[in-house]
Amino acid sequence: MSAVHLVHVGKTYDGGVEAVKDVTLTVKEGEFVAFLGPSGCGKTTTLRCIAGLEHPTRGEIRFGDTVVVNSEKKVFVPPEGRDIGMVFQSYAVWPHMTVFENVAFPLRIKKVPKAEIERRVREALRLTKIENLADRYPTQLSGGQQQRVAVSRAIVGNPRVLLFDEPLSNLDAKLRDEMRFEISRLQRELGITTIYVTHDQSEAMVMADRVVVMREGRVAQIGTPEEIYAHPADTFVASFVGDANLIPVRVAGPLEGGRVPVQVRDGQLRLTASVRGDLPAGDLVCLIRPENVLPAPGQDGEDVYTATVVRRTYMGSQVEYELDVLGVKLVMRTHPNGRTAPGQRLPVRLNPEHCVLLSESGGGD
Amino acid sequence: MRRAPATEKAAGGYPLSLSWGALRDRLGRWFNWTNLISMPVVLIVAFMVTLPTVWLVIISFRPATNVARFTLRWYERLFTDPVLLQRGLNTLLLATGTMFFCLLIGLPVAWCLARTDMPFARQLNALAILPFVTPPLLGALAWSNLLAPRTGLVNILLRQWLGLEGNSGPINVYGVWGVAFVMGLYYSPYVINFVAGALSSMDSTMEEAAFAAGANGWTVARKITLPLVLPAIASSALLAFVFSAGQFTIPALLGVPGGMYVYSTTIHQQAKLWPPNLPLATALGMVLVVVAVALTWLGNRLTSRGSYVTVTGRGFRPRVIRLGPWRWVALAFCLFYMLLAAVLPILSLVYGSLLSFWRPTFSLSDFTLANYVALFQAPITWNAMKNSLILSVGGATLTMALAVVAAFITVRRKDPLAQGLGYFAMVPTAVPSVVLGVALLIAYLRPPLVLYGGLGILLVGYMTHFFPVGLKAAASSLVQVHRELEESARVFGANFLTMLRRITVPLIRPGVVAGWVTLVVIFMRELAISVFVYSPGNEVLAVQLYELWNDGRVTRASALAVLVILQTAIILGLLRFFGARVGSEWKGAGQG
Repeated sequence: MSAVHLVHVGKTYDGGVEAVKDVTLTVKEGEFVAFLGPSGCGKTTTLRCIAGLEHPTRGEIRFGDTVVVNSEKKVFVPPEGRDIGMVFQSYAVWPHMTVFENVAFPLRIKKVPKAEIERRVREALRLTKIENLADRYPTQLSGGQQQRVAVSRAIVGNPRVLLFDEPLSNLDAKLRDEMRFEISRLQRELGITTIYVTHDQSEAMVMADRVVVMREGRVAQIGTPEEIYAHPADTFVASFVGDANLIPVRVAGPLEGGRVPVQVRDGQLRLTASVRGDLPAGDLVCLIRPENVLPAPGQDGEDVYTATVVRRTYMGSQVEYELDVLGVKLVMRTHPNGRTAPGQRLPVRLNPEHCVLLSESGGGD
Repeated sequence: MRRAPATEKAAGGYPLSLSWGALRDRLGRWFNWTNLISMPVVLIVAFMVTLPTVWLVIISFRPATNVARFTLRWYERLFTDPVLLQRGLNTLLLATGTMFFCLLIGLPVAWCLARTDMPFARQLNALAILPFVTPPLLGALAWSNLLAPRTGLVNILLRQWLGLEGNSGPINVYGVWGVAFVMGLYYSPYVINFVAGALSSMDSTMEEAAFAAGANGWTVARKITLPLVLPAIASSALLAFVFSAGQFTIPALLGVPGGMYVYSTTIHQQAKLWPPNLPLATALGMVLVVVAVALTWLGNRLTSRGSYVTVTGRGFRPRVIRLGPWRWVALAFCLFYMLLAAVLPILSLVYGSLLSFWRPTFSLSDFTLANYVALFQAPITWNAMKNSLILSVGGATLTMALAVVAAFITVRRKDPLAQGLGYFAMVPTAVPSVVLGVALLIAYLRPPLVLYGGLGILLVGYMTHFFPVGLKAAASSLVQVHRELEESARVFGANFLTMLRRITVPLIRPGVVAGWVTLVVIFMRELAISVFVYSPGNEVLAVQLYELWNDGRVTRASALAVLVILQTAIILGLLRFFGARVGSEWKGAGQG
């Protein structure tokens, strides 16, 4: 087990496509880190560089004190020399071997004594709860069972680093929830340093100690799930990790004690937004999560505004309102007993703590 | 370009040692297992394909084989000499006729198999391997046994039953239409496979949508189904045209006796003249190659533009048309095709082999085993059998060995080397065997590599021409092995060679074995190349059979044909016995 350091890692393919531009980060020993981002953001390529399945064209990768990649010193340790465990998107369980032989493979390559192989494979199968499938062939297994074989195989050699490449994307929703839980539990039990690639924000939030949000080959933000969700670095992160009301604003007063008055750019609405540290640079946007727009009938205060209901959508566990506050469209989610009909007025509270000032990320999104 | 910054940095940091280090580094990166294994294969394939092709082009522009001057006179002759013009016309007529027969047989059979409730449709899908049972050499011999004007069995029986006068007719297979008919039987499976494939993989909701819009069955067939499968029909018809234009064996056996020459048989005639006219032969060959390349390109364009024939992963069978009592008529038609393509030819070969000479009457009391006895007493038969066995087993093994490595390069590597090899290896498919035959004869009679006079030239010839078959077999099974299956082996500690041994090879073995068997069977009966490059003492079975035919010893040739069929059947039977185990090893095991 060891920490993983990436220093200015970049990967340009022969055709000139720059899949990874510049990634620098550290995964601490025993930590569970998720790489999160839309398809094409470079998260899988970064993972494959860590695994040794791609040759990074720039930068350095270290496992603990061991340099596995250094593009300047021409160091490249091939995947078989890195002592890693990996779970692939397609599971990559070998169809011509039994479950037992699949899981035993990493140990057989290391020439572990027979009796110990038997013991460790049984243990790995027990941990993933598929001891009874040891003699089956993968073609006789369901997707979820194959997934468990892949996980067993990845942990059996007690690797320094465990890598997951979107392992749950081929499973149905129910199985996915189950496996999420199982993988987190295993990781905590074994304490292996883990990097987990996914495009599913809820997966990253639920499982990871820290989340690395990636965009166009760069790190957009690194932080705990709470930090990423409550204090996203920019509008790209804000909208990628959840639903968001993003209101373009400009500063309308001095920053004091982490609070600053802002004015909606094309409207009358004035809000008080919260800021961590200095004012963000560039064009500014105020983020309000739909669940943080609170209905405040009969209440009063500086942060209570009168909204008009434009649309009401019943969603079972909650109800979604589209509101108009002085010409600004706001989405609000609340308990389904709210019964305000379209056209009616509804006072809402926009607590400054929940109005987060961000810089607008350039480009696509 | 990339070297410059590396050396600069090296020179800047560590003046002396690192320029050497950088060089060693580059060499080290190049000398890995992948390159050490793949480079020789790339070079061998490149050599095998380039050498004969280049000679083919060069000689066709020379006034004489060994006179290194440029001339266009042979191409000019092709379009001015009345005899050659007639032969060009024959070639065109023959290819068109074959295409016609292929469609006539193939379209109804394909439709019955794919879209009707014809009984035994599933079993009859095996029709696709019929040409394997009676390859051109045996088919042509068999149909001359059946339809030769004087001695053909069918003609004899017709004359007896109809009470016709004279000892000839009424049907004559020795002409353009006879040859086209026999070739049509041989090439129609291409149409059947292509069209049946397109019909059955078509998304039937497209037709259902038309029905929902109020169209009747006829309108749907005309406006929806036909346009959707038209690319498949056209490209398979083009394929039949290309193949039959370059086909040698059938016109050699059935056309030449009646004086009907086409380009392919003319190439052979010119090459076997004394002195041979190789420049004319190569010029004729060039025309065939150009036509083949142009039409193959056209066919590919048709199918790629026609790729809107959607293959959906949904598991429902396309709409089946209920034929009612007509389904038995459909079955009869398919069975009749099978009868013509395989059963009747084999029976006629057996029949012919049991006669001591052909006679214009039919009587069971004439049967004798004299032909077989004579064959087994002749040392040349044993020699030819030995040669054929060595060449087919050895050739198939070497070809597949090359093909597996080449497939690995073309499928797994994305660099220009891989793409180049992929295109390059397919060149022989555009060169008809007879053209390759003459090119091989020219190429390996002279340095750098003199092979003529032994079995080596036959081996290289077979490998050159049929390498694409092996490559396709290996590549198509490798494509099905997900890249992550190999990558996971590397991640879990296996180096490249261990990965190949433990993961890749076991996974592609069924496909490779299938390719190997196919090649063994093809090599066992190959004539068009062999007839150019064999030398006395190095005959193979197909050549011996051809010579018996040319000597007029038709019944002896039939006996040899029966032996060839038996030999192939035994090999296939043995391999099926082992092959079945090989293929189902990991699929079936452990299910009990």
